[in-house]
Amino acid sequence: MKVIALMERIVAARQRLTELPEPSNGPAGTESQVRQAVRLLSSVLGELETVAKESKREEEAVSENESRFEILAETATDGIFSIDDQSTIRYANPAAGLLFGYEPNEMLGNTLTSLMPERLRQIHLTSVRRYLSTGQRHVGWRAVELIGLHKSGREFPIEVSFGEAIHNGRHFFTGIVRDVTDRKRSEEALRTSEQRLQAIVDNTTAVIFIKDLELRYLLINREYERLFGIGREQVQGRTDFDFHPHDVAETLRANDRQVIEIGGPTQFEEVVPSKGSARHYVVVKFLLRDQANEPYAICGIATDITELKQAQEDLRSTEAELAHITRVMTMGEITSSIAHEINQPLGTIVNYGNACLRLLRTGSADLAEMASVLSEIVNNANRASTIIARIRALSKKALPEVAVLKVEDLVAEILPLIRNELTRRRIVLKTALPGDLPPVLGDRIQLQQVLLNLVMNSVEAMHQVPEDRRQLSVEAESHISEGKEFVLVTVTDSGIGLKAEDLQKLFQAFYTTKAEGMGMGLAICRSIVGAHGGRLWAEPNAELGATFQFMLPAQT
Amino acid sequence: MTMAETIVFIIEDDPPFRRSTEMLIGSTGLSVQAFSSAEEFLRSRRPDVPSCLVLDVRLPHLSGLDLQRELAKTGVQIPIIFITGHGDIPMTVQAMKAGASEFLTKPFREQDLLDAIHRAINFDRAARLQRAKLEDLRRRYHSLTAREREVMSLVVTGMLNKQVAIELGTTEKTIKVHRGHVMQKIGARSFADLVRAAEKLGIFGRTS
Repeated sequence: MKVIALMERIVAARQRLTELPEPSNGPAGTESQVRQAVRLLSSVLGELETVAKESKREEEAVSENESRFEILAETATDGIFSIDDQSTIRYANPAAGLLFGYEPNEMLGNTLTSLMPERLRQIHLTSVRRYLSTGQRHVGWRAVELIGLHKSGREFPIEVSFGEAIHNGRHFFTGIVRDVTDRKRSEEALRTSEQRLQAIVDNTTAVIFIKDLELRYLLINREYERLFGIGREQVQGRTDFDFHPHDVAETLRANDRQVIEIGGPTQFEEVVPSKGSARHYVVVKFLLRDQANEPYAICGIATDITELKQAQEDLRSTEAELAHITRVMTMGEITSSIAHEINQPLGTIVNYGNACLRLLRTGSADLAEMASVLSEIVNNANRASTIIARIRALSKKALPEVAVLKVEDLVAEILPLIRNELTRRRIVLKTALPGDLPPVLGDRIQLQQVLLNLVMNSVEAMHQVPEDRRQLSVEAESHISEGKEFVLVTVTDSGIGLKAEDLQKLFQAFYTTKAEGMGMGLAICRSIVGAHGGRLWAEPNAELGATFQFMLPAQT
Repeated sequence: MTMAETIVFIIEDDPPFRRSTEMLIGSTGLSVQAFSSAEEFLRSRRPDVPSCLVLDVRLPHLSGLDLQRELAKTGVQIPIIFITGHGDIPMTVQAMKAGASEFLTKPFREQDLLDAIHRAINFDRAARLQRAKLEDLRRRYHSLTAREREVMSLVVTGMLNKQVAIELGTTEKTIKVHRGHVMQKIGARSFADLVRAAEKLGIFGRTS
């Protein structure tokens, strides 16, 4: 600016010099004219000196700036370009050369488009032109992602920040270029990994969700959306109480809170209604933690086990059905004994009734005697109905019901049903059932079925043994095994015993030594005892017969 | 039939049923004596009057059928009415073959039991009479001399006195005297009486 001002002054001074009158012939006139010219020249020279001084100062400042810029640019790891409004490269730092595979000077004078893939060149030129004429930018100027063309022809991702300078009405642009291949690659890898994860999360049959620690939904997967007919945008910020029945939501919340409290992954079984039917899930819930290991969300992965549950249920009911069939078959073997056991009290009742009628008719009835006879009648009616109730219970087709039971009661209830069978077959029964045994946990009917089965097997095993040698013993005792208390039940007979080959197959289904046996009895007994957490086994006696034993965990 | 002169025995191990049967039979005016086991019955001293036995088939130890065999073996003749809680056919057949007079299933109709008891007692009474008569006849037969028994055994075959005399190597007159004694001692009023007596004694057609 100062130079221009100086030039203007010089032009003005010259103008005034040319306007000076022609020198007159008088010395006075000439002298004053010369003085005037000298003054003018001196002032111009003064100005020139000032300008020169200032310009030197400025030059010094510029060179300081330039050297500072130079150092920065030369050592920068980012590439730095300077182009004019024609996109001609005016400056490129060494990093820029390295970036694009050129010597820095090699690039000077080239257009910037030489560093761009062919397809982008026109866009660049058009955009620059438009900007120059309208001031409208087609891209942002900070950290713009573009594609660079290496001298070798390889394209690579770059990030460019632009700066602009206008000099003497001309636009100059500076670009700082960074190779973002690595960053792109890791971003790409991250995106791929995220997509992969998303694909897995969305394509698994598991139901997956993430909630914040206030139990508001952050995310659900596609299976969740499908099952509950709800989109992932809709669940954001909402809770289970918005989608599920109140009691269900309460259970879910209780489980979630437990996980938050415990801090570790926990597995639950949850039942959640979906599209009108209850679905069973096994859910693993765990906390998501940030880098400081602080939990910020709870994640759940739920597997639908409804079909499994159903299959288990079916299996259980099939087993129960099979158990029922064998039970009824066993009962069939002792019908005669049972009939006897019922007819006994019925016969008693009929006899007493007839006797009373007769005494009343003949007027010889004694009131005290009548009363005692009537109470006998009631007792016997009860006796009959107790037996019937037991038979009904045993013949009933029911799913197992777990209760606290006393083994001595189980035996005592079974014995009346077979007592007559024992009498008929001349079998001497010995029982040893201490009253102080610990109780066991189990299904009354199933355990009685086991007892009945073992006893009836023993009874049949003694069929071919001489009558005076038929002995059956049913005993129960407390038994410690591996530090745990059990109730051990022993059924011993003096029958034909067990052969080694029988022992192998005794508990297999469809294995039988009886002509009319189905071969299910002992198999079912073993499965029943097993389901009660116990064990059932058999061994031949040293002399006569066999011993069957089972033990059930004591309920303490 | 005078009730006081008869007795019904009951053997039943189930106490309520035993007591009720005892009471039922007792209510008809019959004398009853009840036992809880066959062994107890065998050990008891029983009055010698027309009687019958109401016997449970399934008794512990000695069963009803065992007792029936035991009684037959020792010559105790008493009509047996079997009762059972649940009778199967083989058991019934066995009991009836061995001479049971009735087989009733609990709970039985009162009238069936009482009828059976009356039939059994009447039968026993008749049998006892029969046995008493035979006993008397035997005693009479035992009072015969050896010669008289020989004569009787030949006479009842229908041989004439003369034929008997030839057979025994004696005279027709001697035979006639023996025959008179036989008729008198046996208590036969006619020849037909004598033949019937011989039949009962099982000496009919016996040759010595």
